[in-house]
Amino acid sequence: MVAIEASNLSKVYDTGKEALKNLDFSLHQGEVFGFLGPNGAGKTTTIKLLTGLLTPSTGKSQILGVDPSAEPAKLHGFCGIMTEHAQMYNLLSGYENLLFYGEVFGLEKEMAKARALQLLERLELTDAMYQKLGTYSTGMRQRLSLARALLHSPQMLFLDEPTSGLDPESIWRVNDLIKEMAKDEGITVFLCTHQLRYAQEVCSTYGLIAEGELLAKGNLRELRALTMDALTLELKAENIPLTENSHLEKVAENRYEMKISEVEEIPAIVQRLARNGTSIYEVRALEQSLEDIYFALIKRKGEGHDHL
Amino acid sequence: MDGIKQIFGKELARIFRDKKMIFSTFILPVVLMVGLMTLVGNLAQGMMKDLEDHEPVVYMMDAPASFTSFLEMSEITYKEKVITDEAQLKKAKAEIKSGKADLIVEFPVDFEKAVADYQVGDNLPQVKTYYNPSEEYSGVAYDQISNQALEGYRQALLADRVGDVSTLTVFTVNSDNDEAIIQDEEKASGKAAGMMLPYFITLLLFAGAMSIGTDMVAGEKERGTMASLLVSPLKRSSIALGKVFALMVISGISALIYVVTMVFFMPNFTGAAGGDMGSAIKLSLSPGQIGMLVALMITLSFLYASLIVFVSVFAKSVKEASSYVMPAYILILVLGMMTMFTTKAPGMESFMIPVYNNTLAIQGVLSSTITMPQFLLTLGETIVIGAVFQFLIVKAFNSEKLMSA
Repeated sequence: MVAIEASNLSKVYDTGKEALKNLDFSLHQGEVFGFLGPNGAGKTTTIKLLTGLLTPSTGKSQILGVDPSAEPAKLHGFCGIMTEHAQMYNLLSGYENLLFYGEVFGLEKEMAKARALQLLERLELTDAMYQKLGTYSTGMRQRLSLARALLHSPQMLFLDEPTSGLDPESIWRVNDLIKEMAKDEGITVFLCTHQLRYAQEVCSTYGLIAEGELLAKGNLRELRALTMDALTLELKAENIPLTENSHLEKVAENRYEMKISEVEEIPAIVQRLARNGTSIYEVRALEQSLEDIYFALIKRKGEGHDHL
Repeated sequence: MDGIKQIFGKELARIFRDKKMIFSTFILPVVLMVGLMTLVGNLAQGMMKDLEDHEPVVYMMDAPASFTSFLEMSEITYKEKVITDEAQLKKAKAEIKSGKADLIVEFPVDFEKAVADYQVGDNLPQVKTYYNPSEEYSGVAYDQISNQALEGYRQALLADRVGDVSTLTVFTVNSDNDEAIIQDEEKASGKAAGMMLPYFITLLLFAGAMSIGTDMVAGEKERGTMASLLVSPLKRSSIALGKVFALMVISGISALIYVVTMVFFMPNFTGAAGGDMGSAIKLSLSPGQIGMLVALMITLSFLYASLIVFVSVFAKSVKEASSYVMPAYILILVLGMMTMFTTKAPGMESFMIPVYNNTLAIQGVLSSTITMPQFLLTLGETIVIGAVFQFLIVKAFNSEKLMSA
C-alpha cells in the first residue's frame, strides 16, 4: 500500500527562494526511507510540506490518502513528527511532558501514562523521567522528542535529523527503535538527515536531494547501479604491465584501484593481470557507500546529466 | 472545541503550579504597589510633619509691636530677625532666594501712626511681604503669616477703627450652616472611587496580561514549543482560543487582586497623604452593580487577551512581542487617563470609543450614573472587537509565514 505520494511538489518562499523543485516520489508502507542531502538541500521544506506545516506552491501530496495541506489536524492524528525545532516544556518533567502531549493527542489518561512509561523505558529515560526537561542533555531531549512523536502509536513517522547531537550510544538506541517499529509495527518512516553513513545503517530506501531537486531514489543496489561504477576493485600488486595503466589508478606504492560495475568482472581482470606477469598479493571489491553515490550523482548533475 | 481545554489547562497549570510564577504574577506586583504607595504616603506624611514642625525664619522691617504681639497671641512660632535699612533688606532678599530665610515682612515707617491718623482720601499704608514659592518652608511661612496672620491683624485694626466690624459686613455665606452638603453618600463615594478605580482596572487588566500573553505565543515560538503543538492533531483555532481564555483568566485574577488591594488600602494611602479622599472611598455595591462590573471586566479581559495574543503572533521572540505591545499599552494608558479629567456627563458617542468606553462604564457603574443602553453598547462593542481579533488570531495561526518561520 502506498504510504506517501508526492507529485510535482514545489515550494517557492515569499523571499523568492525556490526550496523544492517538482518533487515526484512514492513510498510504500513499512519502508524506512532516508531523505538525504546537505543542509539547505530542501529536506526540512519537504517534511513541512508533507506534514501540512507548509502549503505547496505547485503539486500535491497524500499521506495515507490524506492531503496534508487540506487536513493537517487529521494527518497529525496518525503521524508522528519529530522536527529539529520542535521542543517541549522545560518546566515540566519528561514524564509530565509526555502526559501533556498524550492528552493533546487524545489519549485516555491511563493509556497515556502506560504509553509514556513504555517509551521512557524503551528509550532508557526512566531514571530521568521526573527530572525537569531543563536539566536534560541534548541527547536525552532528542530521545524524549522521539517518544513524543511515538506516543499515539502513529502509522507514519517523520523524523528530521533525529540523531543530531546524539552520542554514538544514543544513535544506536534510536536506530534500533526505528528499525524495530518498522519491522514489528509496520510504521513507515520518512527520515531526513545529512549524515549519510547513519542513514545507511537504518534505512531501506533512499532519496538523494540537492538544491531542491531529487537526484535519485531507490535502494542501495539501485542507487549503485545508477552511478555505473558501483564497485571499486582494490589491488595490492607488483609488475603491472604498461598496457593496464589506462584502467588501473595507482593510489599508493603497490596499491591500485579500478572502477567496475559488477563483482563478476573480477576473475577475468585478475586472470589477465596474472597472465601478463603481475604479482597479485591482495584483491578486494569495495562497494560504493551512500556518500560515494551521492557525490558521484552530484558530480554527474554538474556535468549536465539531469536524468539519473 | 477539542483541544481548547488542554491548552487552557496547560497555560493555567504553567502559572499556578509554579510558585515563582504565582509570586511574580500575582503577589509581587501587589506587594510592590502597596509598598510603594505606603512609602509615598509615609513620605508625604513626613513632609507635612516637617513643614508643620519647621520654625520659619522671618525678617521683620519696621514691624509695630502690636503685630509681633498679635503673632504671639496667634501662637505662630517663628524665628524673628529684625532689619532696619535697605542694605539689610537686600541681604535678606538674597537669603530668601537661597532658601536660608523664609519670609520678609516690611512695614512702612510709623505704620501704627499712619493707621491711627488715617483720613478719608489718604493713601493706605502698604505692608510688603517677600517669599520664595519654590521653597516649601517659604511657601508655608507666606501662607501662615502673610495670608492668615496679616489678614487677622488687619481685621483687628479695623475693629479698633470702626468699633463693630459687622457694620462693614452685608451678609455671610454658610457661616453656621452645617448642612450645606446634600448628597447621596453612596454616589459620592462611588464618584470618588470612580476617579481612579476605572483607570486602574482597565490598565491593570492589560498590564496583568501583557507579559504572560507575549510569552504564551511569542515565547512558545522562541522556545520551539509552539512547533510541537502545531504538529499535534489540535486545530490551530483551538490552540489560539485556549491561550486567549487562559490569558483572560490570569489577567482577570491579577486585576481583581489589584483592585481589592487598592480598595482595601486606598484609605490608608490617601489618608496618609493628607487627602480627604480616603474617607470618601467606602464602596458599597449592589449585586446589580457587581454583576455589571464583572461583565465589563470579563469582556475587557477578552478584548485585551485577544489583542495581546494577536500582536504576539507576529513576533518571533518575547522581546519583539513586548515592543509590539507597548504602543497598545500606552494607548490604553492615555484612553484610561482621559476619564479622570472628564467633567461633562459622557454622551452615547463616548461609549463607542473602545477601551475608553469601558473606563467610562466602570466609572458610571461605580457612581450609579450609567444607563442600560450605554452599558450594553460598551459590552457589545468590546465583545465584537474581541471576536474580530479572535478571527484574525486564527487567521494568523494558520499563516505559514507567521507560524512556520
